Amino acid sequence: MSFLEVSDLRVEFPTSDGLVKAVDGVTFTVERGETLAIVGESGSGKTVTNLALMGLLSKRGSRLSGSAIMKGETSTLELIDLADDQMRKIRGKNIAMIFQDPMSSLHPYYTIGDQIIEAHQAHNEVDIEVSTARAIELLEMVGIPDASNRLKAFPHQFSGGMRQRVMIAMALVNSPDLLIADEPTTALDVTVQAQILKLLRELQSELKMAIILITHDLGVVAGAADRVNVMYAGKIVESARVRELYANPLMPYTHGLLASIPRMDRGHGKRLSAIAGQPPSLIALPAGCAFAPRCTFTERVAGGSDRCKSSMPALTEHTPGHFARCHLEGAKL
Amino acid sequence: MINYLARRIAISIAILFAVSFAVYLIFAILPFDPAALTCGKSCNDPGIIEANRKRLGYDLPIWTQYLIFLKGLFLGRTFGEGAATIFCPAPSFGYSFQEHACVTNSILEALPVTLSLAIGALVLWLTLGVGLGIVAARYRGRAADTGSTIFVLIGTSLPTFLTGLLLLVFVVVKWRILPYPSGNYTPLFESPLEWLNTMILPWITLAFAYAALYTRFVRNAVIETLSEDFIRTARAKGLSERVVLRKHTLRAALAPLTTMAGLDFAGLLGGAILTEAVFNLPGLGRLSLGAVIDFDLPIIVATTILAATIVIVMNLVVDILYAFIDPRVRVAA
Amino acid sequence: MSENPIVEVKNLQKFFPITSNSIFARVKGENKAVNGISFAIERGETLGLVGESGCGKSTAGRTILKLYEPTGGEIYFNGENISGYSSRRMKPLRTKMQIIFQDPYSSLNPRHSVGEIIGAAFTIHGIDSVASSKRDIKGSVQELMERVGLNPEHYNRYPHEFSGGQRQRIGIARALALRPEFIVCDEPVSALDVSIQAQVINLLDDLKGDFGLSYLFIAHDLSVVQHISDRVAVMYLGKIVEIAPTEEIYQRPHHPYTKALLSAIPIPDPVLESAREQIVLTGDLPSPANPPTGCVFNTRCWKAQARCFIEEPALQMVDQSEVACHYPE
Repeated sequence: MSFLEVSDLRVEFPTSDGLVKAVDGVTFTVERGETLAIVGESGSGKTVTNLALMGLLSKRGSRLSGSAIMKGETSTLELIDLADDQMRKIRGKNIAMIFQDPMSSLHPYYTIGDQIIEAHQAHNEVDIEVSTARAIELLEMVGIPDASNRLKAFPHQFSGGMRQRVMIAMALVNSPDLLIADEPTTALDVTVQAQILKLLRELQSELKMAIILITHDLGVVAGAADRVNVMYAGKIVESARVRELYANPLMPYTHGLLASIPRMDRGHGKRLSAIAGQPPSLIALPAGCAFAPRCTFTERVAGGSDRCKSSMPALTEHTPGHFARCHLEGAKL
Repeated sequence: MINYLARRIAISIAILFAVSFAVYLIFAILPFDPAALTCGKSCNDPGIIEANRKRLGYDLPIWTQYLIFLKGLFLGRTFGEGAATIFCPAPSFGYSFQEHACVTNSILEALPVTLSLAIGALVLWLTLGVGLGIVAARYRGRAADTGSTIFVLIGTSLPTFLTGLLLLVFVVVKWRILPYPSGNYTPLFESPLEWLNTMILPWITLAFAYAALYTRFVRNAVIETLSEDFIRTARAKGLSERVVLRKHTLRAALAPLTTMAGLDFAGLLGGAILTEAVFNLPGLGRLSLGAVIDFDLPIIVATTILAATIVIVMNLVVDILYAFIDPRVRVAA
Repeated sequence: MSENPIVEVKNLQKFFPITSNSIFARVKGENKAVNGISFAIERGETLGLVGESGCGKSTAGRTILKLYEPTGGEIYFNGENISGYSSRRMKPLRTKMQIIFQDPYSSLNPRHSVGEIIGAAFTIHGIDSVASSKRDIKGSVQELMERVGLNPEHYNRYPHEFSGGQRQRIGIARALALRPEFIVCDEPVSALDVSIQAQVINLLDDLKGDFGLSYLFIAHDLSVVQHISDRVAVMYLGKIVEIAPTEEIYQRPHHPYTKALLSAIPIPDPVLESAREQIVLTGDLPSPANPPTGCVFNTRCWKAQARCFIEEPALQMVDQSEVACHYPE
């Protein structure tokens, strides 16, 4: 049974310009121990989806609907519309989160020890010594040398990569079932990114937790994920196992995204195939497929490009486990 | 840290000397004859003027005068000879002919008044401003926030003398809750109740304007801090809103307030001229105002140097406080 | 190397003083951001300059344009030694050397319309040289806008009305306005989404041919640089550790750091990605205020020997590459 079942999740932000449909009917599952990547560009809804699951969106500024059922060892909980104090018991315990910028994500005024111990104390009624020991254990696990002394250090005394390790230690202090990693390596240099990705892989196989990896980088996804959801304009447009997706993308957007990445293994001097145009405004989404205005395959659709512009294709399963939202219906791109 | 402090203190002392000399120099090059000023407006007896010039040392070159002034600060100073000798003990800022008193004595009389006024007002406006600011930020966009906005608007647009006059008219004249300001000051330790009666209206007058500024500042600082990444991290850990607000938000949001409050306080210690005038309080503000009107140079020099000293000392205090609050200042990376 | 490079730097240095936060600023040390680099850029060539944050690549780009005063070394532009030029003597040259910045959000004045931003270049440097009247300026600006893929009718719009990719096009148009010969592209696509990155890279590549440009293309992302560069220089801690033709550097990296950097970049192909062997460097970048003695990479190098801690390697030819390593791959 899946650890998390999200269905028809919608998040809308009322603004003075109109209603922003940031997440527009998203359905997916997360299995225990797997890594699910959510890939998309800025504004695709990948971060908002996860903030909604964590109950971290402002209740006054957003409208939430749909369902997200978390199956714990003993209980089953509906996360959407869970009471604040109950959601707080889940956050940092069953589901933990790490963020893009490890500098701004740690409180500058408190030692990292304070911050990790605080996370442990929030969910365990134990003595401070127990939490301290746990913090040291975690810091050692994420590869911070001289952990017991480093507890007394402040975030600004660490490098970017080390700060992200501290964030990971803090997130894992209560052994969560699910870690949501929101662009965890985007702010880091490539050599440090490689270190952090390696660390996450090792920790996952050791701790058997599920990871939702939110990223814009298809390179990172290739080496880190089991399954991938591709998001565009608030919707999942394609979902498949990682090898299947890269080998056989069914949605023109995925196809275009893969083709537009500069690749080192493809020799230099070749012209990049860019996707023309811009992502649509989330306030004035087109009636049909949101990608249609940028799509080069609409002519190949049975019924022609008008069909793409007027009707939204459903997310349908083409081969087992491979879903795509496209009128082309599984044609080879 | 100790190195830093020692250097800061050394620099502060150097600046004080520079300021005192500059003040001295400014008054020396002004087109007034300080000796002529000592014998009143209608006096034109060259004999008295020359005698006073010699008595007060105005016949000496400016450098010598300044050195004598400095010496007086540390050792006290004797004016005149024989029967008419006047000795002003250290720290001597000189002798005022208008007041017929050592300047230091005049200042020591006025200082407790201004100190009482400034400290009382500071406590009042900090309590009010910080409290209201936090409430307004916490309940942003709701009734409490609107109320605070109205308060800010009134507080920032009402001039101090008007607030003071309104208070006098209603509280003292119409409702007769408090007696009319006598122009005297009763020290706290002589009669606490009397002291309170004298100070309460001036406090309210001063605090009203500052509290409005501080409410706006605190509200904005708290709102800005609440949108920081580290606050999202604190929530993601599952901490309660109370802890998020009190421990994580306030410390970061209120740190810049130290600088603001320190410098505003220092400004007030130089004398709250308007408030003191409205309530007939014999403080430093009124002393300097009288001195300026009468061209009482020794007092002007002394109060200017005093005000500069207070600002420099408060700057130092603020920086030390800041180092305590923000480890990024205290602990090297 | 040909006799007539458009830009050449010899032993270029740029140090920033590190001051303590007191009133009497005391210099505590020097951040050796660029610590003696030499290279030449041929006319019509794109030189990629890559490295991780803090390696000094952006400082190098800006120092070459004399946006920073060099601490030492020489900068030649069209054979002219400009390293000692005052800002007044630089002014006529400014039209020929331009820069495109990373962040298209903060580098455009939000209170000026697009037309004003792009047209400002004409007015600052005297109208008559390029266009002779206000109408001509508008015409030239709109022509440029069209050329970089913006709608010329948006002449009067303000930067906030454009997306990140479009803003970067505005930045490009601004840089092109005075028909420069040389452009420093400082991380021009790293703030953009993937699908937009490719558009901008392709645009820059097209413009290079059309306008007869030479680029110094600065990036942290080796895969981006590869597509547009003829040669690539790799920087580490203020030094160039390897400089070689693009094909060569990607096929046969000779410096251990280049190798590690290449290996750290994830390949967007799960099959290749799981099969390949990755070199994961340990540790962090040392402080540029206090670089290691000997080879700058010795604290993280898996091949370092005693010699690497004593003697600083100079750039030497290995195959077609220049490599600063005692034990090149």
